[in-house]
Amino acid sequence: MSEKTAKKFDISKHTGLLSSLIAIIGGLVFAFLVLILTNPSKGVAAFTTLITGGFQLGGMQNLGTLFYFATPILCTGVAMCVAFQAGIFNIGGPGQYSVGALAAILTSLYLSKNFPGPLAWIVPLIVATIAGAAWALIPGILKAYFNVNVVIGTIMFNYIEMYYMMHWINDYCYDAMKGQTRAVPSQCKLPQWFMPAITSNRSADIGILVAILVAILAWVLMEKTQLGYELKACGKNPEASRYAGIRSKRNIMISILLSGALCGLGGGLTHLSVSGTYITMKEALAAEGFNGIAVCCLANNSPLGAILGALFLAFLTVGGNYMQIYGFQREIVSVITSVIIYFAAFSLFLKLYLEKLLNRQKKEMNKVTGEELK
Amino acid sequence: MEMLYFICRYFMYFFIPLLVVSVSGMFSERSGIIHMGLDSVMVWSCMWGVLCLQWLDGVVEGQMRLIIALLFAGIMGIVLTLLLAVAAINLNADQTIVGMAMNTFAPAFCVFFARVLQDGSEHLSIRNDFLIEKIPVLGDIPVLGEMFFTRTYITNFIGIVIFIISAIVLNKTRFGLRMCACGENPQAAESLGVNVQKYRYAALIIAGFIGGMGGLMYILPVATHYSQTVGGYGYLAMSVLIFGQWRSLSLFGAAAFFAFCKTIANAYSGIPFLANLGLPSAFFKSLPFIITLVALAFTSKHDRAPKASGQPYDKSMR
Repeated sequence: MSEKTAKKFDISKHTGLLSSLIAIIGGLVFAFLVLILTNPSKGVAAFTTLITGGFQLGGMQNLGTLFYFATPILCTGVAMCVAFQAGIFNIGGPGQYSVGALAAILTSLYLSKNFPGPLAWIVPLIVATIAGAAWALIPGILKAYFNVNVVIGTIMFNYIEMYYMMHWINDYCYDAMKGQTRAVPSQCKLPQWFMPAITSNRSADIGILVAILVAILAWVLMEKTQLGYELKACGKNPEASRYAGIRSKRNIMISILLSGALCGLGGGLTHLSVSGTYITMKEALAAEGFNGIAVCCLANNSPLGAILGALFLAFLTVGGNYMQIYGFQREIVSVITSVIIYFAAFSLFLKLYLEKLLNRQKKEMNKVTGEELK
Repeated sequence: MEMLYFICRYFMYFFIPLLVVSVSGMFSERSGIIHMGLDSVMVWSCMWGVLCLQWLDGVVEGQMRLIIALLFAGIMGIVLTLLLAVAAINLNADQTIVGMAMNTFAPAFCVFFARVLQDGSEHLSIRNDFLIEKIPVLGDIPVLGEMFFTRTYITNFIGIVIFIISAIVLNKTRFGLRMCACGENPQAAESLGVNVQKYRYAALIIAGFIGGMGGLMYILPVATHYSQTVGGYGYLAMSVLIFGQWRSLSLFGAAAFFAFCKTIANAYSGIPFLANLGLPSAFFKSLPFIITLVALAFTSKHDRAPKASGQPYDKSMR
């Protein structure tokens, strides 16, 4: 009997990974078709560049770029995992991310100059995290106490952020010459430590390390603590968990605040990075917020999986940028991402379906998974 | 008085697409499928509609050109919505995630496609000669004629007709009532001989067609070129749908309310009283969103969402 259960566990583990792989392959096949159809002569070369992440052309230096792209989407991805597992569909990523970014910029411009040593970058990061959480506070309250659909609440806050961002930048940190936010003072930027050495990229910094640490902490929280268990229980069945004595309102607040905080941190990390980013004066929602959803789907809602998911999407982004050499637009990366999310949506079903079969009939189990594993 | 006419015209520009697209969402959600991808359907079919306008340039003239393009946009809307249909109905996918995938897909693909088509430029220009200066007879009615029947677009009337027809279909016909049954309790509907899958497909095809037309309706009065965005109208339509509690008449009111706020937000600088308040433009622009949230806070306690909405249909569950 123990043998059987061990085997069962093993295969259900496979199905999770399998569903992500199916999604990725689906996305790549679609991309290949689009590239071939739009330009048959250069399609293959462009596709090769895409899936080698441009390392062929750009060399190891790309590792730094890859980490740079992965940092924000890892943070927002983990944020989405935490929220989705608790049954909260937080689409407010773009808003929370941008508010965090602005908070980090403002703190470093106005306050942090006088802080000694590492506090100069730690304080802005903390402020960014708090700002992200603050931007999720009202949608959270509306959901928990007024039963307002959280999707709508967070979307509305995205747009409120989008319009107010212009106003805030204009008033507090506008660089009129360049039409963007003022540059962050150098002592407030993230330290580099050993990162330039291992990535052979001069502007690599510890952003990715912070993000990975956060992902691991989030995993510990969700999998190893009572709070994480309660959050997940609320996500699986809110009614049942309420009868079991779990305070669902409190848990809604915790999960959405955590999610907002992580998005805010992502914004902070990106805008304090050594390579330097600015918020431009454009009425647009930050793509990093939405890409977090893609990372989360790829990772089957697991914060640890999000590390792989974020690195993979960043890898594609780097490759996509190099693809422009062949005259292809880098928007193809977003197209691939969307196809991957699409496939991920029902590969989750495939996974559940496989597991259901496992439970029902042992014979059929062996057959189906045997086919899939081929 | 001129001010009133000005505001009224502006109001219609916002109101019609919001109404039409939220009706599209209503079909989908009343049949039990959450349609997060409304925005993508708008962006996508808007592009095809604009392309169709370009193709027809010189071939067909006048309002006919617009009507053909609207139909084409509607058909392309169906094509994209079928992606949701297959995933949600046949593959039991997570509908919200599919919607988000569509929302990522459409703008990216349309930028890509437009650039391939035009060698680098992503803006598709629109030759707009559809403004109707004055509708014969109706335009002569005092006040009302000025408000609704001069300097207007044919899409305004098509939008209203779509709303009326769909309200009747959903609430008064056997087809519509059965469709709603699929969204409330699909197992019970199935036990009475309703083919849930078929009805959901029908609902999504209708939703795709209406949503696709809504995309083109949005862009005509407000822009001279298409640049892969519809200003988040799909998301707004979704909140109108929730605000309107998934019911036709409330939906009409919700769309009107939201469009009114939006009009004030965009036209406030032309209204002396509001312009003199000295508030930042960000305040006015975000006003519709803030007011909607406040209104939702007071109306959401008793949620009238279709009960089976968002859950994949499983015949074996009772």
